[in-house]
Amino acid sequence: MLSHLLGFAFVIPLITLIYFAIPKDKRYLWLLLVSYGFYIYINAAYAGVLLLLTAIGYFGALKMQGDHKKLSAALCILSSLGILVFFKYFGVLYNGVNSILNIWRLQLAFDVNSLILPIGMSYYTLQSLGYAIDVYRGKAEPEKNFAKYALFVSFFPTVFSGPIQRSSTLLKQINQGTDFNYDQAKKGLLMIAFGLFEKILISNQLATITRTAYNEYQSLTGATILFILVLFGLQIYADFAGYSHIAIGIANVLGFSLEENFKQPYFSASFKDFWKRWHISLSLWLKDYVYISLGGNRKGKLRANINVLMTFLATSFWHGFTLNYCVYNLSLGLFVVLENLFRGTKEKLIQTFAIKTDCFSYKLFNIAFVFMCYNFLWVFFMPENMSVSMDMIRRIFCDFNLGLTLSNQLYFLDKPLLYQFLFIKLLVLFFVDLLHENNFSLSGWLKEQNVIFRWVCYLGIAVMLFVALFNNYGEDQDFLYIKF
Amino acid sequence: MKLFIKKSLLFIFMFLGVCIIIDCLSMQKSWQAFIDRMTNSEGFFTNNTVIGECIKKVQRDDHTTKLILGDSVLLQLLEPLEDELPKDTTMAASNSGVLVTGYYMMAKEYLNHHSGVTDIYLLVTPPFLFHYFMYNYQYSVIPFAKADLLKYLDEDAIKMMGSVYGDFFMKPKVASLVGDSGLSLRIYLYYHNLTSSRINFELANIYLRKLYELCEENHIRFHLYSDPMSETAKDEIERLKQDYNKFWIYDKCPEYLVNVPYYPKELFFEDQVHFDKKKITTDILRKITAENFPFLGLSEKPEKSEK
Repeated sequence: MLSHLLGFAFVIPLITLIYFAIPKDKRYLWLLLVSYGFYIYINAAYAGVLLLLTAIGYFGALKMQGDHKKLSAALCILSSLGILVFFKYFGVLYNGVNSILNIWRLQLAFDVNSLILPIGMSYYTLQSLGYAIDVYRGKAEPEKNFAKYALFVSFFPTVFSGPIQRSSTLLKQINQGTDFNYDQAKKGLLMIAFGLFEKILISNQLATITRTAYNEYQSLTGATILFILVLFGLQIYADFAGYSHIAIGIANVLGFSLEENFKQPYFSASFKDFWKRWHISLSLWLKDYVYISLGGNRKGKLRANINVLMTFLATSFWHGFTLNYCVYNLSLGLFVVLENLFRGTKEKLIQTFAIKTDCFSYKLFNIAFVFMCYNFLWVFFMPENMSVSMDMIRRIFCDFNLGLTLSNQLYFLDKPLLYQFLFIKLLVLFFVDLLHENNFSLSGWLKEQNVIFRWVCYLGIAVMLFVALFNNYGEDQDFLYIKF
Repeated sequence: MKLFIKKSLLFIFMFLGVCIIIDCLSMQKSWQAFIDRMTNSEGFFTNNTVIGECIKKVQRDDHTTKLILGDSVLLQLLEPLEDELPKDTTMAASNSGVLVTGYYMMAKEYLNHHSGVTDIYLLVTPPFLFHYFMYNYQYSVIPFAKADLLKYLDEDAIKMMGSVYGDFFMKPKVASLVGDSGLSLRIYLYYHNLTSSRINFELANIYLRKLYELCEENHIRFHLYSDPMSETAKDEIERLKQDYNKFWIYDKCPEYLVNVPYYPKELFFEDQVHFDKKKITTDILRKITAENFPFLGLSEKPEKSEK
């Protein structure tokens, strides 16, 4: 991990220097070269797939200007989706066909293990599809410059794990070209540092705990399992938000402004609000291109709620369409639907019992409720097996045993120091999120301080991150969402 | 942009400065524990007390005339029995990681501090003599650098070891500094591409000869013995015999791989090299030692000799 990060630390500044040294109207070519270079370096075999999907999106959008608009759109969307489905589900189909052929003692010769999902495919396919649908709906003009469109799809900070970009943001900026902005670059560097803090110091360390606990869950009480699910929720958040911050930070340094992908989701006071804060780019994509395409809320409440469930079910395709992912996503949708259905009842209860809603305690209750509900659902996401999920749920409800958990199960890793440092880091994350929740900009606040104080803070952050790289408390693991 | 680049370069410079300060602080005793803990380098730091103690033993003015050198298996055998050894014997078993160069340096130092030496015994497990281990810089170089004993190695040996550890890290002052800090040692081991090589074969060959010749020059009898081994090692020993035939010292000590004492595998730990502490008592160790190394003067029944 350390050597990868050091390589990254050297390469990005060099890329940036060359980028701004090139004339503004040619800079996109350099970024395109770099983006494909990164992709080929990490996953050379599937650079062709990236190029193919890019070509489909590009030519499909251009063709939509002609006579056969609907046909072109359908072909573009279906072929892009088809390629995605092929790579995502070929293994399932292959195993299914083989199990039938095995009846006659036959087998397919192809080694399915050699076919893996091209890295980042789910993200850039959705990005490309979003562009095609926007062109079809007349919300965007088709891009005539293939290289610029190719850069839009393969933009290296976001190609592997998002955030999923829209043509109205990223493609527009590619066309306009970007200039170096000192404040934006500084902000970008701080975002990268924060992203690394989330990934290395929090997510990797939590992964050590959750993986060990998951392997030994049968010896744990229900309360411990619930605690582990909460930690897993924090792990995923730190991992994914960390990646997003790094990606957005790099883009900032290059002069690009990208939308936030996470906005303190664990401060959500309602299930609906959660989806305006968690993986925002995907949520918005699903809302604009699935929910609204299904009719949105234009056809009555019942249909609107069904559309919500269908939209969440569609997310299962994105995750991998196993039983666990389906139950997980449907449950997420169900929370939103139930919240819609019981809104009136909730308001009546509030009136009947004269509950104050404009106070801290009410907000805290709502936040805690949403937090626990969503973290409970990781019980379907964490295991890949429904029987394990059900066993964990049974233990949570039938063998909670909080006393035993507090007595001796929280130190099952036998490394108390691990917990002390982790607690401090989670507090830091909480504090930063709290500041952002109250619209307090840390980078803006730092800018107002004296230069010595600022530099001491910057040095402290850099040293802390560097020391963390030597800190073996955490597992060195890939970004979790890169597998989708 | 230019201002940003200048500030970035200044920041990098200051950052490197802070890192160097932390590394220097990690070499100070008062900061060592804290910094090693923060960087999780505790497992890397080695005062290497065993080897350091052995060096002190060979330097001690104890009027002994016999020196026993060996690896961790020998240490396991003799450490509980050290009080029972004859009073004319210095037991300086340490770790095979010191390499033959380490045994040579300790022998040389012993001769510099003792007169009338009659015997030097080297008891090592054959695979450790012939093979090279990664990450043994902290055994074969650091303790000897701190005791200023690297001067006993010739230029070729320094070059040979430098080709693996890095010439810069063979300088005594550098090795001492690295050895003073778990963090430095960790950085060194993490980034230095230490791979197994056949270097120890050449080095072992040269320095076994030097050790023998050192003894011959000083009219000392040199003895080379194999440690007790697990019966599972028989095939490996047979393979090693072909390598040993090429050693210079083969002609002087042909019985080294012939007289290997084998014991049931159940007595050994998972690695099948060291004895299993749960199954081995001091009496068993005494019996094994008396059976195979009668020159040590130990009887099978417990007996304390005065020192």
